[in-house]
Amino acid sequence: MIGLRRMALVGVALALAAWVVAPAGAQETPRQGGVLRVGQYYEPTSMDPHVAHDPPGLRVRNHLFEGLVTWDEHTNPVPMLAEGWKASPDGKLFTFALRKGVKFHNGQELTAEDVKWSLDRFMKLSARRGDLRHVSGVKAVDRYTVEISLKEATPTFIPALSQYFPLILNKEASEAQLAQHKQIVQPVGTGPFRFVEWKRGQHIKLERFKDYAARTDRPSGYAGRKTAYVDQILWIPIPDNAVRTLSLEKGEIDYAEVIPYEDVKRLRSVKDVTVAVAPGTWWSALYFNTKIPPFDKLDARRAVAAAINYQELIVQVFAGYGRVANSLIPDVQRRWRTPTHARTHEFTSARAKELLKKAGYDGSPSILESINQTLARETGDTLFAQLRGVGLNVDLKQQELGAHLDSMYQRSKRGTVPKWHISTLVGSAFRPDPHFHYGIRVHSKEHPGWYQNARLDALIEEAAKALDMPQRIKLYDEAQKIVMDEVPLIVLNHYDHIDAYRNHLRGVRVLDPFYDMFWNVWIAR
Amino acid sequence: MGRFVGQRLATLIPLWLVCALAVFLLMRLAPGDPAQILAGSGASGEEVRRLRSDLGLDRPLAVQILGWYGRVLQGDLGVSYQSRAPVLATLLERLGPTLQLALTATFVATLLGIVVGTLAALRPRGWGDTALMALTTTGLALPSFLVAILFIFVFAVWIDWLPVRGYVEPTEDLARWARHMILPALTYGVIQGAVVARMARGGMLDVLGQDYVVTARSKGLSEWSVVAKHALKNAVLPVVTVVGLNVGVLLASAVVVETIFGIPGVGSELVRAIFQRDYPLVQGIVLLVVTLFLFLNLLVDIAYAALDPRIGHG
Repeated sequence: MIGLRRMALVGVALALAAWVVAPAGAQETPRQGGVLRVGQYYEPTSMDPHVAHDPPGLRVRNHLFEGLVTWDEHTNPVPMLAEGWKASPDGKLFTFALRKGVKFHNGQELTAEDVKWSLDRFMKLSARRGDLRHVSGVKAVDRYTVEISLKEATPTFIPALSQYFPLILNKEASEAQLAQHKQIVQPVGTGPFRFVEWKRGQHIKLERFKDYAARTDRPSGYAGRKTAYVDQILWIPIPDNAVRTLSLEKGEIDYAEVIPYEDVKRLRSVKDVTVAVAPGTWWSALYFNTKIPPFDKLDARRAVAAAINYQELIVQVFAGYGRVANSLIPDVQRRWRTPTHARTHEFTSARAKELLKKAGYDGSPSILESINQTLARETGDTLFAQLRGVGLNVDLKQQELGAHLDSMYQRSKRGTVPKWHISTLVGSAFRPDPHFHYGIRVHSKEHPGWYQNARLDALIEEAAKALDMPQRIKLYDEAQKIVMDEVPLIVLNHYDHIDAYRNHLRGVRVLDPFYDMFWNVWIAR
Repeated sequence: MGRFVGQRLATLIPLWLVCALAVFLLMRLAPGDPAQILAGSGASGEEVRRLRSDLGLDRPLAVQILGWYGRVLQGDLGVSYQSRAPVLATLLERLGPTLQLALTATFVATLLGIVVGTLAALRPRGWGDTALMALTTTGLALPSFLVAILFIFVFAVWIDWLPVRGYVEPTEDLARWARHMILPALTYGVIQGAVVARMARGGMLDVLGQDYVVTARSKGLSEWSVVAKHALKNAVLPVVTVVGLNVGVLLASAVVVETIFGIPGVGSELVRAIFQRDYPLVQGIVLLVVTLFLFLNLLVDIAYAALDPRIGHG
């Protein structure tokens, strides 16, 4: 199955590669050179992809490193450093053939040893190693062949491997740095740009990697052919939203990451600036505590689902840049999206009031929790007003991230019943396989509000094992139906990802969940 | 003098240990779980528990404290939870900008304070004195973030003389470094200078009434000579204390100004570490500030002893 798909992919890719080169060149010839200055919304934690998984950092790291597998623009896993892969009939052994002649930034050729070392290190260190927990061993068979064995067959393995984190570092250079500095100070990867320096608070500087071994297939998402046109990229931390947009307007930077929703309209009227709005993959949601009244009763949870004005929430919090959506799977993951995932809860106050009465709600106070930062705070504020509107006596409790997470996930930490009745989650990052949402958000073992549903669990567990794609699609379709009917949580919306840039940049693609792709981008002047 | 310094140093050690313990406990009393923050909301409970055990957070508190003390005494401040970088390396990297800011600001504050204080003391209760003291009261009352924003508005946006924020290493470009340092240093300089000015004025007033000043004046010395050569040295004694404390306060409250002006010092790193519950990093930074503070106090004591021999022998 997988082998066939790979062959088909390669065929399509070759055909497209031949077709794409001409039209792209006919329009305008890409120009080499120049410095691309990027206004960064937050300074990264680390350049080491095995220890850090912060979103600001991955925007830089994706230029330095590559993995065996990556995503095309529909987030389907496709080969990157691997030529392709083959799964054994029992699905427990994957053989990856590496591309030959791929150079690291220090001039060494990529070998199976580097892959083994990197994946082993990722699985030892990373906070995201759980995604690869099925892996029992990585073996360098020969210079260009890597075998990864699994404890049990799982369809989540390849998607997990395609994420931003299990990336390949040069073994020799990394080991030397770790021995001397106890950290990676000069990251060495295979990406189209190489690391020059990181001056804290000033910039991270990358330069074009002259010996980059590009793939030949059509660029798509993180996949395909990457060409570095600009000589240098500078990521300059400008965490203040107003200063960052101002810097873009004044032309002090060429690209600004993360434009605040309320600034989009104004920035659109600025000359020579493009504001790119990408349909988002991140969602916000609220969880119910199903162990204590009133939300131990299904009717009370349904009442909340009917009490929320989803459209107003998007206008209030995201200035309209988002979509009403109640599925855990975002639009971009097209192949998973059956009509069930497009279903939404209906906002009807009258029905909400009726359901509350039916649930025997006595007007006792409930705690609604959220983080006290911008988007989450505004989500909390808006929900508070809407729920009060239908007669739910909610109290709003807003805290900073650490305290909020601690309270929200009391169950997993202490095994106790949390004190909140509704807790909100704003900013659920993109995950490449539905399992990473259904298995972690709504499974009885993980739901922070102790929701139990044996039928839902069985579906999720089956979907985490089934290797047949149509079957998995059906299983998540059924799981989503239960989520809609039983309301263990309510996904509120999927919100947009917005960056902006000066118009002299060409070839810019702003897509979610792909952030900052500065290969194939050039400066026209 | 040697014995005096030795005694002082000996009293610092228990103080230091208590401070370290307080930091350790305070961080753990605050709600929040480093493992959960590190893993994010998308991790399974099992994974968070595994991380917690990796970080040693599942061990009894006493074991954690003793282990930490033990390592600190060997010069090992541990590894940041978030970046897995050695805390000491991070501290050394961040210390430079903070010290530059603290010293520049102290210089500005001291100069400004002594000049203003002395001028005010020359005509006590005159209109100049009243105006200057009103200004210092305003300086004392204003929070640093407000002063910072005011300065940014006036000098960086309105007149557009100086950069809004950012930092350049002095070794890279001294002139640009200075341009970036002016506003943050002035922010502190104005606030701390107000304290210095009031102390300097008080000290000067005391001294100007002394017999030897009257003598100096009766000898027909110029006013400049009387004030600058005879009175000033004695008048600044209380100022030394304030300046010493100021540097400490600057280090501790660098948080606000560094964050606003984007200076990559220990202050801005501390804020980030606290929000991420990066215990080793928070402990490391606070320990560093405590150490510097205690050390500065010692320096002040020594300076006192040098300026006034009675203290050293007493």
